[in-house]
Amino acid sequence: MNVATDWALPLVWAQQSELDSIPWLKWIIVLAVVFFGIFPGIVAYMVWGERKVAGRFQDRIGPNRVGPFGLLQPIADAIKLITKEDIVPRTADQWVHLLAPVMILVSAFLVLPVIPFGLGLAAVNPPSGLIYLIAVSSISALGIFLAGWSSRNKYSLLGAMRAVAQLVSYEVPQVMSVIPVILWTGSLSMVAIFDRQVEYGWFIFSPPGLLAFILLTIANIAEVNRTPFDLPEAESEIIAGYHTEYSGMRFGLFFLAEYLSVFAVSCLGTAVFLGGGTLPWPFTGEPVVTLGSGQGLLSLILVNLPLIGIFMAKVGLYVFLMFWIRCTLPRLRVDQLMSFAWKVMVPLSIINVFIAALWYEFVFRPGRPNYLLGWGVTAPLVLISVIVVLSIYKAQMKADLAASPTSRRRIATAN
Amino acid sequence: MGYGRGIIVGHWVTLRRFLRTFFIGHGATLKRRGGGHQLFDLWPGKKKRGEEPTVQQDATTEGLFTVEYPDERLPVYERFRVLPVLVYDDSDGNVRCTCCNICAKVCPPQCIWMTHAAGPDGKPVPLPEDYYIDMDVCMNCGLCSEYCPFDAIKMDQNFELSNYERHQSHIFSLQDLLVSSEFYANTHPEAYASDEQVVERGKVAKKKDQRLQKALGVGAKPASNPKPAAKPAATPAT
Repeated sequence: MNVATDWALPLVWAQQSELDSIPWLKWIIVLAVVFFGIFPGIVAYMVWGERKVAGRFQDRIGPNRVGPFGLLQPIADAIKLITKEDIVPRTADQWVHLLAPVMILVSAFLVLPVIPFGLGLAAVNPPSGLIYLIAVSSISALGIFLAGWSSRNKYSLLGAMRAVAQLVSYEVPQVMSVIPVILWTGSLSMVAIFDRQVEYGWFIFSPPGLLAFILLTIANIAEVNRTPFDLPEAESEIIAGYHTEYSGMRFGLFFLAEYLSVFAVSCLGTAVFLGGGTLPWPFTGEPVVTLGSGQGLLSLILVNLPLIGIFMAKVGLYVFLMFWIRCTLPRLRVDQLMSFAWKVMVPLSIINVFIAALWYEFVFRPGRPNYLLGWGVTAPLVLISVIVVLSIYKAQMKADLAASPTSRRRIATAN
Repeated sequence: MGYGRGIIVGHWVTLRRFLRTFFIGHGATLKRRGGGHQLFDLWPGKKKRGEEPTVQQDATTEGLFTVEYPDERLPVYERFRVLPVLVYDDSDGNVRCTCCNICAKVCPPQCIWMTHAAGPDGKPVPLPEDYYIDMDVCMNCGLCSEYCPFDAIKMDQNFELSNYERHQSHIFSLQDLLVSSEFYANTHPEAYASDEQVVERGKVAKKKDQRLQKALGVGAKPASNPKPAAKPAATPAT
């Protein structure tokens, strides 16, 4: 596992060849090929995939007119967005109006370099990768607020206000839910987290890990503003929220950034809880253990091809999960959104840190992991804490409803 | 106490919907070939324009229910109506319309107007020389065909009326409107074969002949000799 823990380099062949001596060439490859080629391509076809999947969820076909199976639809959309007139409101703050989508896009892009797609395939591996990742992903809140503020439009501002409230609220459980992983790994490095899962299996295969994964997924969906947490751009309430006043490619940047951050949070969930590119439990750490021992370029390619494939399959499933949730749940009310974050997600993630510490004591600290004891102790604890928190939440919601001045129940009892 | 059970059940419901589209109905087969005509077509053997298959679809259809319209279409039923057409008889090529103007009078948006044809002696004959319907104004109510005493104007089912130019081409003249009685019998088999219409056709044939004979000055006699009339002024389009 030396290769992974090394200061990892972008591409296998670049790492192994003499290109290493020319660092700027490596970065040109990373930036030009991966960041301006592969990732936008993935995003474009994710949009196509979402439209296809959403179509099937609604008993429709989805795009199928532009190219076979509608495969050229993203290209047509891109051409449309680029050639559209770029309208900036006269009263808008011109510079901030331009800066906002760029900022959101940059924030979405900055998440990706620390993701370990395979052995040595994290573009950078800072020792505090997870902190960095969470920090850069929270820049998007600022970008959204700048977009809403600079537009001089009440709907934009409303959307921006909602977005900031939502993003700040859900960042707390998002951060808290990855604390178990940090605890178990003993490191903030994404590559170290990957290595730990190669050794011990996916982190999701433990009661606190499962709970943390669910919390992280909910928080992720809220962080990227997707249904049922799409209040900042709720088209039935506030037109398009913070990007009401954006058109053409400026809107295109928002669009790109939204799907890029969907991809990014899916990568985060996969890398942190789903063991990166490794196979699940019976084959713990599989492609790495069997194929990763060799030295040289060929063996690196041999181990990285299945790793990237499995990683992308998991990301695909994670993205599908987000599409599925989007196709199922309606939008939350603002008060539901906030109370769910602060009254359910945050308490549960705090409790989960303690349960994760127990799991650490039973599984990670001893020389031989004691899974039986770990499951026996933490599983009931997780179950009980979920039920207790949800019960308190429900009781409170009921009490709030009864106390609400517009509540039918209250009006009925008053009469 | 729910604990989010409804959310989980809801996800199962939507997932089942999603999966069913791959296993039920036309999503499960490759029989129906939509997607339009493309440079590189994955569905060879697609029908040409105008020969697209008709698909049956109703409330009991399971799975995908998209009808990919230009590539396939829903059946048009007999009572479906769009614009009026003028019927001429196949037997003698005569236009049934006698230019009585009743349709123009009952037309609620007043989109019909016509002129009498003149006979050899300059007197008007009961035939339209020109007959116009402004299809942009027509509201497809079908009153003209209800009121027509000669069964001459009928509602057609052609709904593909889009055009690049709307000032000339959307005023339908006699040439655009004439269809044969056989065409009408094909599109409206049930109505054509109904007792009511059979009787009506007989009456109309008699009446029209009478009026035509009278107008041509053959004689004020009743239609004791129902021989076919002379060729009308308007030549029917086929």
